[in-house]
Amino acid sequence: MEELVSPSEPTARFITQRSYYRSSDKTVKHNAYMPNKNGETSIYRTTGITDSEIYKIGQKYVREKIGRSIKGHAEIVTSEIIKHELAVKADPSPHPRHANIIDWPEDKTKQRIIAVELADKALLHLIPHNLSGSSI
Amino acid sequence: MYHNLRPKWERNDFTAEDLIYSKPGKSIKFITEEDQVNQPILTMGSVHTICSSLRAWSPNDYTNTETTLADACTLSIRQAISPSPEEVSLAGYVVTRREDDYSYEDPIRLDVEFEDTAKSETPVTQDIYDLYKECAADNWDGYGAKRISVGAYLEAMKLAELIPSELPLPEVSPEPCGDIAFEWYKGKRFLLVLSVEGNNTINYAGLFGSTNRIYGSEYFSDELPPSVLKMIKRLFL
Repeated sequence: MEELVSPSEPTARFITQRSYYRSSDKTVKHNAYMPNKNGETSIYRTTGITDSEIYKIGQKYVREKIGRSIKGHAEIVTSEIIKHELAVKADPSPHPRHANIIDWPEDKTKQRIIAVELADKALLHLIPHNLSGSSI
Repeated sequence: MYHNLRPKWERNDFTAEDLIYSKPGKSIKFITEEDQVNQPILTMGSVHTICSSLRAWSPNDYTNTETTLADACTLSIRQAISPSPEEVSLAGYVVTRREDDYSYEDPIRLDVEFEDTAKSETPVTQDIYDLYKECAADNWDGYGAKRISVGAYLEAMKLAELIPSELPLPEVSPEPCGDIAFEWYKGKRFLLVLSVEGNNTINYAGLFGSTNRIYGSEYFSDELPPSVLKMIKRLFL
């Protein structure tokens, strides 16, 4: 049975697009959190690991998949996600720390306002320029 | 800025003879073999209107939109296909009223190539064009995002043109669901997002301070809905 992630766990959403954050004040945009066509938002559980280790996961499991470098990650604690009646479920593939935000409402306007709220709470961690192209 | 539209008629009895270069608002002319008469059939404006009013753009989608081309000619669009970001194929019927007052319906296929149509007048429309090209294929973000459709692109261009110039420019960005979002951002918890997907609807979501939030939809045709304008102004004025 898949495990629900604890409300106290921090999570990382890897930023794959320049358009997923505002460079003006280094904040996360709502589209970074909107679900994909399967109704899921892919994240990683980051309890007990450093930014550097988070980057390693991103470079290995996201960068390789999308074929280009990631820009950084958005950090948010699980309790901020589940307060919107979403669930965070462990999905340990391709990595043991992988999870998905699920139970998004079907109505896209509701999805969007939730994504706006999540982005507002998220903290952006950009990968330093000297590391962004490397495999760390 | 020139727009290059190239109508191609599939049937032999409707052959376009010229490649047309026209500025926005100027007529595009073509010659039919039947009457060898120059007929103004489409203007940039009407092409835009046709495209904007079509509800769906995938090859299997069915639409039925009519537009008057000239007094004696009506184009009824049955299907729209977008093989690439720069092309749209419109399939349907031309209804031609002849001198004897009989009407004829001739099936046609009109391929419209949008070449440099978005070398645009504002940074916003240029950004829309850029993101449309960048997100023209599924999975553009690596997370399974849907491609941006032609319908969303055209509706976003229309919205960009309708934003009053006295307002701050929004930042446009693609959404994983295939919509195009316009964001006005004033700071933490002060922002408004408008999104279009090409179905004559503006979806909005906004935060106005620590406790106020709004979201919903408005019908969008040829004008910026007053309620939407009010939301933008609420953020800045």
